[in-house]
Amino acid sequence: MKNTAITQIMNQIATTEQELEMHQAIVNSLTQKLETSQLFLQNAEANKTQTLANKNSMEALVQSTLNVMTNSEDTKKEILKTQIKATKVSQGIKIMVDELIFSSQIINKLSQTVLRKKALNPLISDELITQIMTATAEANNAIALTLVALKSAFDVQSTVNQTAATITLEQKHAAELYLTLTGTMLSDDITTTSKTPSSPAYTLIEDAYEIAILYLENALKSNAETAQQLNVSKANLNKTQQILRSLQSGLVAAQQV
Amino acid sequence: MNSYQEDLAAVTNEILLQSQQEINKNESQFNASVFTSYYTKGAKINALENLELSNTKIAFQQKIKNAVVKNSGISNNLLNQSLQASHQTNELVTNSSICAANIQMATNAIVRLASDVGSIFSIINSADYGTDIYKICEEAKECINTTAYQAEILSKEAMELSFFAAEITAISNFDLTKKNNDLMTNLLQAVSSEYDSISQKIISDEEKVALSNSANKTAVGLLEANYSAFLHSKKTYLDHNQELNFNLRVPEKEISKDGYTITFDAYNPSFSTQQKNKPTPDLNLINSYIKTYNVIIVKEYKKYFFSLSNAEALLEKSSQYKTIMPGSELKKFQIKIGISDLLDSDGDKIELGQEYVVFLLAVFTEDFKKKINVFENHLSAPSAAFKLTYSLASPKPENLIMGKNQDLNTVTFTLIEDKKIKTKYRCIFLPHQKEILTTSFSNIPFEKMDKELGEKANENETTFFNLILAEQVVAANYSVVEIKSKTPEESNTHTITGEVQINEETTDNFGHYLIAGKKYIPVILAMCSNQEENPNQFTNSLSNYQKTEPFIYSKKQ
Repeated sequence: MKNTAITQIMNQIATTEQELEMHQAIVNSLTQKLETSQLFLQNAEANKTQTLANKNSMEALVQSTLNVMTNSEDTKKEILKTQIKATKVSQGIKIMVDELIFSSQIINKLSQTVLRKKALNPLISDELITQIMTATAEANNAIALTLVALKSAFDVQSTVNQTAATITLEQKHAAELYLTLTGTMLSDDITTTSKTPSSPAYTLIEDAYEIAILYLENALKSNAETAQQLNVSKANLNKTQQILRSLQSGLVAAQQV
Repeated sequence: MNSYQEDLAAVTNEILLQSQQEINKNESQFNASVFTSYYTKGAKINALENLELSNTKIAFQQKIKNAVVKNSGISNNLLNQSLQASHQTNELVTNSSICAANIQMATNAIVRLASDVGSIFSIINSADYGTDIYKICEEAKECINTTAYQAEILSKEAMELSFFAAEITAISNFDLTKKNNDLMTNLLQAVSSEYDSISQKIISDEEKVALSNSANKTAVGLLEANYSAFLHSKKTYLDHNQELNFNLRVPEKEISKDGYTITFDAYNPSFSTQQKNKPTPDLNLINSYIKTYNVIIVKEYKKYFFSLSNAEALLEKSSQYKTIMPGSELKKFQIKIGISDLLDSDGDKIELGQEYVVFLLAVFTEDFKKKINVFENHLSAPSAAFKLTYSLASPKPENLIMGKNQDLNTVTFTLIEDKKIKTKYRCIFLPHQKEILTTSFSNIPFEKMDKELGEKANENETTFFNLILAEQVVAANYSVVEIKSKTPEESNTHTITGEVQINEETTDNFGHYLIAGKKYIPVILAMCSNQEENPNQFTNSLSNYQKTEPFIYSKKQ
């Protein structure tokens, strides 16, 4: 009777040991799986951080580009206004030079006529002669100065045209940059040759972030699941270990009776 | 007292117990290696999926990088234009102010001239030097006054031009553009370094695939070895049982919820007629060794306490044993017993889920007893344990359909169910192996092994996924089936329709999310759901995944 009882306990111990082995195998596999899953989780988190940083940089860049674009549009308006004014000044100065030359010629003619009359008629005052000589000299001086002004006015026109061309190009590039970044056309008078890109950088980087978020959610869920599986398996393992221990002490007790 | 027979019985018991323990040990080792190989396979699939993900990611990252590089080019152009515009504007401002100053000076001279001419005109007008001079002077005065007026206006215009030029914001714009380009450069650097790190990751992913592949191969190798050991220990037990214990068996195939069958071989006489060249002392006795065979059902845990005297005492209670008469020619016996036909050795009814063993009590004829001068009968060693269970039904592969009502992400099945048993169904999605794996379990000669064993092992149990694995799939990784309709069939059965929706949270059996474009096989696990019942009395059932058509998962739009 005693021997059969001992045999029975030993048999149960053997069975429990086998069960233990099986639970241990499950726990080992799941521990490994959890390590892997934690690694994925870390990657997913790093990826999220990076894509978020990119997204933020991109948003700052888009905002800044928008700013540059708006400003360059304003600048373009300013240079166009300046250009119109410069043209007006150039045209005005040309007219003025013509008028001044004509006026000076008349003054010269007056001077010659008065001098001729003075020879015939001494009554003509010396004061008038002096005045006329001064006026002739003044006219020469005025023409000289006006020609200098004419030259500088045409210098301005040339500079303004150059600058206007550059600023127009700058505005075009700013609009093009904004367009290729965002895929959105904001400027009305865009002369850019770029076509709207099918997947602009902004959208791509935004998408990358969305994908990273999804990936992280999956990784979190998968990690939690694995941890849960591991907990359940560890609990099973512990339970089996306890059963084994109580069987073993039962065996010792049975052997001592 | 026949100590010889008793000694033989003791040795027989010991041998059979040992070989049964060997089976148990090998079976649990085999099961352990099934789990190991299952998880290494999961790891391998995961590694492959990760590689694939990295490849997808690098393709995407390449797109981002290309787009950013293109933008960066435009930004550089913009910066150059902006710098030039800034320089030119500076020049413009200077030129405009020079121009304004020059025009101012010219205007001053003209105005002075006009004033002189005005004075001359006054003198001539008052002195009246004749109409000739007067006329010329008047003309000169008119002309120069107009010119002076023109000059005043122009001077104002030039002043305005100078203001306009000074107002041009190209210089502050350059600062903005420069900052903008710095942002662009930083982004480009970030995107490029990310691209480089993904390239690195692909290399390490490829290594991981190789490692997980070899881990899986090792596990599969161990699985094969353990399976083979399991089969051999099983065969050893069967051999021992055949030689030493009447080949007393309760074949699993014959066990149902309603009953079981006991088979055994005839008692082998000490000097059999088959042993031809041996002397046969008393051939007349051969057919009358055995008076009766009696089978007795004993609870498994009581088998160690069940003795010959217990067995002989039971012969008084007709409901607790079955007698089989030995025929003269019969070498093999088979008796089919219904669940309520026979009580166990304690006089209890046979219960589902309880483990039992069978003992065979051979009652010798009086003649034989006299012949050997021993008056005891012979009790066999216990048979291997068996239990009666209720097998639940799982759907047949042809009744398991994907994509009902154009909704591709719905699994629907029908089956006939017993009304009395509360059954729950789980749906597990297995990744279709050939889709992602180059080596599959089909390389392992399991089928051959199954044929050798012929009994317990069926197809599902030994391949990649089986009932044991299916029962271990945790709640997060299976979907609970919703029962859509019940149609009464016969008095105690009905046809049920079950449905499972795949959604974003659905994972495969390993806990990985379903990947769009990949193939999966739906498997239905039927389990008893009645908490009050002893779960041992049911055998859960798994639909045959090997014959189920895989489907391609696509995300809902």
